[in-house]
Amino acid sequence: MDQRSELAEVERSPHVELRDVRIAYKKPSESRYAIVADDVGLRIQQGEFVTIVGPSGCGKTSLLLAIDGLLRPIRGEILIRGRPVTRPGRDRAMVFQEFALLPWRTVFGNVAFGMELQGGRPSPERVERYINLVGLNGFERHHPHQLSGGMRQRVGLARALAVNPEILLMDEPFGALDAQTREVMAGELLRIWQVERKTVVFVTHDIDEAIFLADRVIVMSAAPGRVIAEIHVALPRPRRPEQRASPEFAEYRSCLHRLLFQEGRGEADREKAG
Amino acid sequence: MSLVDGARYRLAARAPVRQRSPAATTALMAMVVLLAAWQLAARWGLVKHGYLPAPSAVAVAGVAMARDGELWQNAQISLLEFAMGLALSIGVGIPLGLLMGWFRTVRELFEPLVMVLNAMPRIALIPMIVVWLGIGSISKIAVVFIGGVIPLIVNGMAGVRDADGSLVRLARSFCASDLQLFLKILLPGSVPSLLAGLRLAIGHAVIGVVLAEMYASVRGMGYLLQSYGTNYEAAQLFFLVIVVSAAGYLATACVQLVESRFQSWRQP
Ligand SMILES: Nc1ncnc2c1ncn2[C@@H]1O[C@H](COP(=O)(O)OP(=O)(O)OP(=O)(O)O)[C@@H](O)[C@H]1O
Ligand SMILES: [Mg+2]
Repeated sequence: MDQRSELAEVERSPHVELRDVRIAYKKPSESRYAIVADDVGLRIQQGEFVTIVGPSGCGKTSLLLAIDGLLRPIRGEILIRGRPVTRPGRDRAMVFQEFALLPWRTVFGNVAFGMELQGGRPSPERVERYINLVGLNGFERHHPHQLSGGMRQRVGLARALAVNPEILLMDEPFGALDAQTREVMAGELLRIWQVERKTVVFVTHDIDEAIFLADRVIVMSAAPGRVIAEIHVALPRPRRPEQRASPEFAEYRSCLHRLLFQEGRGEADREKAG
Repeated sequence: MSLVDGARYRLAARAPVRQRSPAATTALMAMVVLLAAWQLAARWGLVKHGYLPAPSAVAVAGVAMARDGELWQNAQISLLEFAMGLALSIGVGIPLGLLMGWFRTVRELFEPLVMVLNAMPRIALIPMIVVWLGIGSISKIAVVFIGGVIPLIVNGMAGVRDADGSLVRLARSFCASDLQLFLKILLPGSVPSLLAGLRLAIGHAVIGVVLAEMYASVRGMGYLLQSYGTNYEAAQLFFLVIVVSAAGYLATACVQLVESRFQSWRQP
């Protein structure tokens, strides 16, 4: 009975909640707002792994920025544990799509950067641990311009993981990785997520990745982005690479394909009509 | 593995230098040919001695000036004025430029003045400064300062204002305070711009100190130039011009060396 009421409590207050969120940018030339995402409502539970897929430009990055507190929605609200988000917080860390590495710092310095801002001098061992985690040991003294795209991306990943946030906001964090590294990193991320019970919001263009990682896949429409479907992924955990070949996985895959493809065609039709 | 990679990168970084060395040889050869032609032209009397002294005559004049201490005494004075003026312009220009980039009110306060000074030929201020500060070292330092401070302010301001927006966002995402944002993103991000400003400042400062000494002074390299000029002593004059140019070039080259080190982390 006690347990059940606790469960009910958790259900009532999601970790992250978006209510009717509308995100818009002001065009520099005009005074009007250009809406990039609209009517977005999401309830993300503590410890849930949510992936977001949608056509390019539908406002996925903008949504993550808003959850992180870097961008204020012009309508609706974003709540974390019931409190409105007004600014970035230590409970959240973002992995940026464009890496955002400090070019004058080494790999080591970049990974240490977040920790440094949030609590003084980080211990070298701790920094080293996250560098190892993303497989960049041996490259500590390299500068970003000496790294490949995929290596740069992993520096950004290590930097976010290193501050040990409750909520990880990941914007196509594996986008620049080759297929093998991608799978290894996905497995690693799931391991970390399972051990540390983080809440993860993960944007990706890779349908398989979205299914493999997620408890729930959010499908968004073309701009202005709206949530057009939420798919609960009931594949057993811990996930294994073999599951990608299973018939259930194929079903999820074709379902997502259909949703995204229909969405794309709808958009094309609308353009033709306009 | 990392060692191998490191070696490869070091090699790659060195390659352009190696490519430059044939060009340096060419330049050296061109200079030798030019000097020889000049020497011969002077020796054969193709140009009047008073207009274009032979390189050998310039060298002889130079050795004489160095021997009797005239060169060093005056160079010392110019160097001191140059160094103090430049130090002052660095001490004022860099902080002020950075603050102008960071705070709008500071920018709005100083920008008109800086823009006017930037647009006008600052040499035109020399007579005014001499009226105010006399013909001693102070007025030379002031001229150097005004020449050097403007590019430092302008570039310091630009360095902060052109900061990479995605890095600013990154710092904010990790809850950086304003001070942290400044120290860890804006300041290091401005270094290339500041170094470019410093290079310009040195150029302006060299011109400033020589001109100010030529206009109103009884000491310094500018004064020497002026007095040998009025006496039509071309060999000494030539020698002084070469010394001053070499000093200016050397100072600029030092900054360029530092710049190229910082250039390495700039992404293509
Ligand atoms: N700073 C900005 N100012 C103005 N418009 C912006 C800005 N950032 C994004 N946009 C616009 O908002 C829309 C959504 O951008 P966003 O980056 O959120 O898309 P996305 O879904 O992440 O796309 P992708 O999958 O290509 O990364 C785009 O049309 C883009 O032009
Ligand atoms: Mg994006």
